[in-house]
Amino acid sequence: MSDVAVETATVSARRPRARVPYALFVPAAVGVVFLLLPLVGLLIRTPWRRLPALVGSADVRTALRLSLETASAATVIAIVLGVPIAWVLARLEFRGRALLRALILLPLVLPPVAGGIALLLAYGRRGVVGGWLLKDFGISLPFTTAAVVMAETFVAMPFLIVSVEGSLRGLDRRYDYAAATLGASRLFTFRHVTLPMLGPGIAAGAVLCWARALGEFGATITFAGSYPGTTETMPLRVYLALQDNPDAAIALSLVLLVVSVAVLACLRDRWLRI
Amino acid sequence: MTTPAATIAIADAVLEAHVRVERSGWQLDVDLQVRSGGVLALLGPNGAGKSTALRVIAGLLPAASGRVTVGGRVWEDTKTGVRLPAEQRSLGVVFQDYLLFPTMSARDNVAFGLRAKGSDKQTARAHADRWLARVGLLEQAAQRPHQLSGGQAQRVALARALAATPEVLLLDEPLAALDAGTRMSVRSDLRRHLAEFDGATVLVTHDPLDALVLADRVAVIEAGRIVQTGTPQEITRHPRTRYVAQLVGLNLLVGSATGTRVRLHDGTELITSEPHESDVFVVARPTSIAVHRDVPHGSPRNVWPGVVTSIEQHGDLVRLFVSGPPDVIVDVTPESTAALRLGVAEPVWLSIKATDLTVYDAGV
Repeated sequence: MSDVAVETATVSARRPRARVPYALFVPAAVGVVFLLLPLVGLLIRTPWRRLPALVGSADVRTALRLSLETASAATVIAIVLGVPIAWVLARLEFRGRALLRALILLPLVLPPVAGGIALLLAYGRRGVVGGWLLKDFGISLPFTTAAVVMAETFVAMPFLIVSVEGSLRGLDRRYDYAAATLGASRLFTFRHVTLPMLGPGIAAGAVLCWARALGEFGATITFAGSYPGTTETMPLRVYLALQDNPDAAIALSLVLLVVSVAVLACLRDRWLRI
Repeated sequence: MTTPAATIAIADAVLEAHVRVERSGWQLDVDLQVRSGGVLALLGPNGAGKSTALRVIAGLLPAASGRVTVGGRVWEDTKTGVRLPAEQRSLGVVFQDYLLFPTMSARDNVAFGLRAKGSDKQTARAHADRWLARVGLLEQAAQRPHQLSGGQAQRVALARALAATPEVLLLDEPLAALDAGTRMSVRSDLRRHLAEFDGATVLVTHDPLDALVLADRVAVIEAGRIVQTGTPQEITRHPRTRYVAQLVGLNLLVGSATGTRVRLHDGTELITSEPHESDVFVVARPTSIAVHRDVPHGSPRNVWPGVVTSIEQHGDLVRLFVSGPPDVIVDVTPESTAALRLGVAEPVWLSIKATDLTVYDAGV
């Protein structure tokens, strides 16, 4: 290991300094200001003195708790379903794999509102599956906390899949062979060899997925509506607060900003160092 | 004498494998047998197909055609379509870079085989500890693979492969990843453990020393085929191809003998001490050949002119590659290199005594 480290150090020391095209600094600077200014504005306009009262109010606490619970539930579901999907995409060669991957990753680029409509059409009271659920089991999914979790899972799971699939592709498959020569079945190998080695990739994907679920708005409001206590998550609360109580909206946005910074801190090893 | 190339007939073989694999422009076709407690070394240059043969026996790669049986049980037979998956073969494999599971301690790595076969954690770990003690690494039981030195990792890999008492042990270049100093001690440890193992062992290596020290039989593979098999002594004394001779550091010349005269294929003639009447191999040790600046005179010996084509350090000696005919390698001391002012492209005279040439029948 130390040899490798020495090697890389020498290489980077020898790397020639970039020739700087100074003209690029102007749009780069404009872009940085554009990105940072809203954050600065948020910090400036935050009513710091009233912050504890605003954030601590009962309806905010309810929304915050609902958000944390649903985002966590969505993340667990995404791990349970997403890791096997990632395994299939990374390890199996079959016709239509590219198409399957494209379809699975569609929610990454699909406008969440459209995702919400699609969820309604599938799992709504008149949806393909939803109608059957209602008729035969009396289960109605839309506008329930379950619907919030479904909307968040729909939108956030692709983040986990992408992350885990990348990790799986980086794993040396020969560990599977080594396990096989020791008499391990495929499932035993997956549980005891592959899964532990995937740990960091799953963790990073889970954090990303959780953050995306926490911020989910479009699909949630379309599929689950906005009922305080059951479906009104933080982003919905922020949006509604903006109309009657702007200070509260700002305070809640600040809370979400802090959570986002914490997420970035969790992912720093993976994303911020190159 | 050596047995004919390409077959190793052993009466009490545990492992019998006939393996054929085809790739575009490349083919592997080997036939090998290992008796109980035996160690067969597959020796050959990189790309000769040694590791491929090992992967087929392990069940990690299907054979194009062939048959692998162990203790009379069929592991693979392309005729009947039988092919046990790797996890159902009674195997232990030591991979070139060991492939110790990085998320597990040394103990759990060694316990893995038993755990996979259904032992409970405690039994498997206790068994693993006995194996770690056997390879002298009980103190490192809790360490992760990245905390182990190369030699320690190799011994953990060996313990892991042997812990589930397999019928067949496969070693793929087990010493290649080690530095020269460690390799010596690990090699002798490995020899001891192999002696205690009563299953069949197949060792793949490109290092002749590994093959000669660790194996009781050696099969030399070149370009996908076994070109010579025999005991280490037979291989070193009577190499049958130029590659084998170079491997063991000998000059191998091929010709036909009439009495004590051997006419080589390149047209030159050598005088030997023992008479033969057939196609023969003539072996000349690099240290037995003398180098001169001028034509040497005197006793009856073989003398021929040549040109030095390259010079290499070889241990304490200097190895000269001299183009003749015949082309030979010559080992001389650094002192004589200096005294004779030897350099590349210099013309030299070579000589060797008839009694220093070993001659044997080239056979089939």
